[in-house]
Amino acid sequence: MSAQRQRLLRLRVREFRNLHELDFEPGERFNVLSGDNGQGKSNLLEAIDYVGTLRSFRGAQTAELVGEHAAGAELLASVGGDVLPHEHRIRLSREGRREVAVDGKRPRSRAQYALSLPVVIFHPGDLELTTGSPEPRRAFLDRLLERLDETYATTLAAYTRALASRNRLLKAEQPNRKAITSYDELLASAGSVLGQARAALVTELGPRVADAFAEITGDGPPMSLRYEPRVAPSMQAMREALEQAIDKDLARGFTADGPHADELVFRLQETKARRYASQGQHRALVLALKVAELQELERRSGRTPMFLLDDVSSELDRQRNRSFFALLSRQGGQVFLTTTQPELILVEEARVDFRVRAGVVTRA
Amino acid sequence: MADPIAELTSLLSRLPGIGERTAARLAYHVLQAPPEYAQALAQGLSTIHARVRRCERCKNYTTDSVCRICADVARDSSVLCVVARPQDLAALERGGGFRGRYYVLHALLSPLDGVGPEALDLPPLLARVKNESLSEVIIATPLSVEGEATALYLAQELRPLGVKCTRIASGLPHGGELEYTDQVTLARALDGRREL
Repeated sequence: MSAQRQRLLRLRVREFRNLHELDFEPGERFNVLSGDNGQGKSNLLEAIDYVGTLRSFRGAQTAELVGEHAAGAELLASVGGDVLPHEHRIRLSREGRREVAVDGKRPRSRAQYALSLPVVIFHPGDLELTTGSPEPRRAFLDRLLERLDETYATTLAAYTRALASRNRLLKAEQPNRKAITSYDELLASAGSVLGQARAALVTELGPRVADAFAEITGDGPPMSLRYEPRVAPSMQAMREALEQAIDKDLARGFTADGPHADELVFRLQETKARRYASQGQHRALVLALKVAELQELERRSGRTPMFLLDDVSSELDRQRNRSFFALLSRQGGQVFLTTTQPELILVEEARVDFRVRAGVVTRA
Repeated sequence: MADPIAELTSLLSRLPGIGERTAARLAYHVLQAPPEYAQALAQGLSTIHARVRRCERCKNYTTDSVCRICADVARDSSVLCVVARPQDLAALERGGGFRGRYYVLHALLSPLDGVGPEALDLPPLLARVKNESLSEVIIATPLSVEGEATALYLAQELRPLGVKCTRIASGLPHGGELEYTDQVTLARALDGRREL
């Protein structure tokens, strides 16, 4: 692979959650952050992830990220490697404002920024990606597409607003048909763009997920990933679906058809993984999906993403654990892991251990 | 007794785009300027509602019962352009390319903000379409979700009356780069292409 190695050289944090004042210089490859629960390991991981994505993987609002008695938080990241050195500075205020600058300049767009410092995170909440309802799977595709395509977020916002408006009118005591169908054209045009983008992304991810899953599980059953749209993502098909379902939509009080009802289906040997996979297989599936995300971000950005793993040690059995770290080793990027049991992280070479206690990081 | 400076500041800070600090700055500015200015400002504010009203025909702001454009016999009375706000009408007038007449909605369909179809004051518009021999209604609402939905809603209401309904073209802005344009806008620009 010809991607440029990029890594975090130094991260300075001020008043981000419980991290009052932190100066962290990670190693080039595997960084194992250990410590008891509640000491700030995941907060540090969240800070690193935030520098890359400008989003909290825990779904926190900007103001919630600012330390308890502070007016604002600051993240200062020095990035280098094969790429030219860059300084990323992010300031968050208690009022919820955010300032982002790379080498003192404001980035052109969120997507442009996200591709300049690609990062992938795996955290325990991700396990619902294969076990739970379809929302987190659609959200996974949406969050990745927002980083890959500058205009995806705009289209998604328009679709979401049009959908919510139409649903509000459907629930009215005396629904106005003409007003309701006034949203169909918007939903069809934005919806077909969303559906096509998601389907194309899944076509890219599918074989990568299958390969990573095979490698992690050894001789596990063959798996496949498919985007299954409720309505074909074309303007014509969506227009017709909305038109035909209007009476049913009126009866149920919401719009049933469109990309908001699409599914991303994992199959193991032709059966749906959501129902039939074992616990270990679910974990391997989510990790494989994250590896595919990493490879796709690498392909599109030309840079090796950082991989962050929150509390991963107990997720796999010993053999799968080894295979997974061997796969990460080959990927070649910088990796950050948090754990309460560092001895369970089966990585020996290029490893640096850190201890996290009461918001302070020290080299172990 | 209340603090008059604080009172004025609080009133000013309710204006759009004016924060607490700017409001205080404006209040002190008014206080430190000659009193004639404060009187003129107060006069302007207190009479604005009495002096400005909505045109009986197009609902644009006017000081008379019928606005300058509706009263102008030189305007083309067969074409009507529907806009959301008086500011939009003013922008089109600055362009000078349109010689027909207008209708100002003063609202857009926005159910999430509690503005349903009944809140759009359409009967006067529908009456005009029925009674005047209009050949075309141009719908020039903004290209937002609300503006698009309102345009399509209007078209559904107007079409049965036998009038031609058109939508202003949309696509790339002047000087716009294709590279940074979203897919929906690009698709529209392609749809609305014209022969050279």
